[in-house]
Amino acid sequence: MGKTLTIDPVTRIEGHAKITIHLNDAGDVEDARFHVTEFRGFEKFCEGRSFWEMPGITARVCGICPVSHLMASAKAGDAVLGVHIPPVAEKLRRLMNWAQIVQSHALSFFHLSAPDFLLGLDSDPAKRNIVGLIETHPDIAQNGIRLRKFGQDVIRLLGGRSVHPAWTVPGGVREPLANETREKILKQLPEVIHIAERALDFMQEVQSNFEQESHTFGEFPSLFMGLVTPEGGLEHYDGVLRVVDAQGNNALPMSLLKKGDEGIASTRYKEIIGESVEPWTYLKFPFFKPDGTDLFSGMYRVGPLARLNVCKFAGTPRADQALRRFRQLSAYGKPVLSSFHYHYARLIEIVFALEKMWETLEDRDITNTHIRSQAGVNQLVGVGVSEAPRGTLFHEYHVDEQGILKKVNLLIATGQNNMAMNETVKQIARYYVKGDKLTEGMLNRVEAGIRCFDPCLSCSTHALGQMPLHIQLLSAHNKLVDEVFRH
Amino acid sequence: MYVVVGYGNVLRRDDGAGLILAQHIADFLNLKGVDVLHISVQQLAPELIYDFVGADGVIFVDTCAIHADPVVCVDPIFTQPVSMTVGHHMAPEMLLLLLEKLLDISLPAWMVRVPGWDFGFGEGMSSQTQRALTHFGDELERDWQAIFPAESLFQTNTTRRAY
Repeated sequence: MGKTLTIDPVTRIEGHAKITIHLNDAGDVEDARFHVTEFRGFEKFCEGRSFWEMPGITARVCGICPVSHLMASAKAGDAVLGVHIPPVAEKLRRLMNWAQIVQSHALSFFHLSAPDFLLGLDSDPAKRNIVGLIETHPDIAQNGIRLRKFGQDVIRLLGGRSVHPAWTVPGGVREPLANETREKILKQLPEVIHIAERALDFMQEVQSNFEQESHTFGEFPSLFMGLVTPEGGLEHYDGVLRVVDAQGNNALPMSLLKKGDEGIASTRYKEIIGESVEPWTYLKFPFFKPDGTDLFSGMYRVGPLARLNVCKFAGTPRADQALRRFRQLSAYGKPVLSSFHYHYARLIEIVFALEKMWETLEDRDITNTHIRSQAGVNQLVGVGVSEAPRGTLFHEYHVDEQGILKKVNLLIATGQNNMAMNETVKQIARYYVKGDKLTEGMLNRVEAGIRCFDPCLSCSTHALGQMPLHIQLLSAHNKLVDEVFRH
Repeated sequence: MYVVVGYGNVLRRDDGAGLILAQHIADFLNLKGVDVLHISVQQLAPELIYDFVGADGVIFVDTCAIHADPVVCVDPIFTQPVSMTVGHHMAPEMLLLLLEKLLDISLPAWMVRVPGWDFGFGEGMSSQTQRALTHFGDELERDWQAIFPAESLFQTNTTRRAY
């Protein structure tokens, strides 16, 4: 007779979710599911509004990565206008996007995941948190806040405020960068790069302590998707969409590519991505259509790990050096397959983002005041794509001739990792869950497996929430066998 | 200087009430000669502690979904958080604890809670929340020093005050 273990809700992620682990008669894990118990609704809410309002509206989907929605939304707006934005406007948008990557990854690594690394996955959950971290490693906790503050300050300096800046608009940006602000940001960069590099050194040192986790936290073959520059470099704002398989080979059908192409135009995403639904979760299951003969064969991952797997190089000295070391985690030329290494990938992306910000700010043209292209509605469909901290973000708008939205589709990074998160939970559960008793070590690892993806369920379901932990163990007949609460 | 932090989402109806009331409190105290730093955010994040450096006290203003009475409540905050769980956003107690542990600063702080009923997608607030805000605004106008006593503006005590 089978049994079901339920972890409800999952802690240190954004939004409401629970995990059920299904046991077979022998007490072994047969299946595991990551359920998202919030519903989505933002797309419907946007219908009837003007596309001009969309950056401001969709930024409010999330208080953590509003800039990502600003970028994708403004780019969809550019497409509706049918304009190329001025070069300096693109540089400024990139600057804000990198600042967003820095602040979001800093929170994920330093405050949400560092307690696992530094205090151990078997440590007392009452102490394995930010307060425990402060007591044992105050410098790490403070560095995390410092990096986040830097990212938020840059967003505020550019956009006027750090959350929901109404600065990125269809056609460009609202305000140019003052030279004084440019110098203010430049002045802080040496310190924050030093912090990021120290964190990277730390990560490289502790890797060997987590050998077991790196093989059991979502190490499986899958596809990886992300934007790359036309030359194949690491990209967060524009470029082309690249998909590689678990061997590192291009997975896009040759019929979609021209010779020498690194990927396809990201606006063609619907030709390669389908969406499926399951009755037990509000989170959709996007899948790679060309390989999607069944749902899980089309499984792909997005986000920091995927971006480092799809790019040929980073494009900045420090990040390229770190990328070379990172790639030693897998066989030569093969992608890094373990989801555990999302953490490591985040740190490399922080270093990359800071280096790119430095390079961009040293360009004197950055203070040019030609920052916006003016036009009316020229296209009735606009697609905007950018890389959010958690992965590729798609906004697609259908408008009438007055620019009123008739249909909106938001394809969010966390949703695209849905299948991989389920697979990760299953792999961890199979390794660590024995019998029908819940143990702290097992729960901590299942949760930590989900945290590798740093999921933002507020974004992916477009709702709000925070959570304690509730775990239930149920028999096949829904009889409660074991239960744990953690507040 | 006092910091007034309003948080919530104005596109989730009553969830935006905290932001609106925080603005009102900040403007009001400012008019009364109190030096105020007003901050609006969707959710509380750790770097906010740097905005509290040099402050004499902090007032957090949020919407509360679980409430016994349809009124605005003002409570003192103690630095011990109920939960140590930290996500992408934090509780005021956790921020104050970070401030104390990392920067060695202890501040008196208050939580102003606006009752909320409707957290659906959309702008505007429910009539009940609107009424609670109006009533609190009237009370503030009538006797603001009873709510925020001037001589010990934010001295913590254990008394909850409902308006």
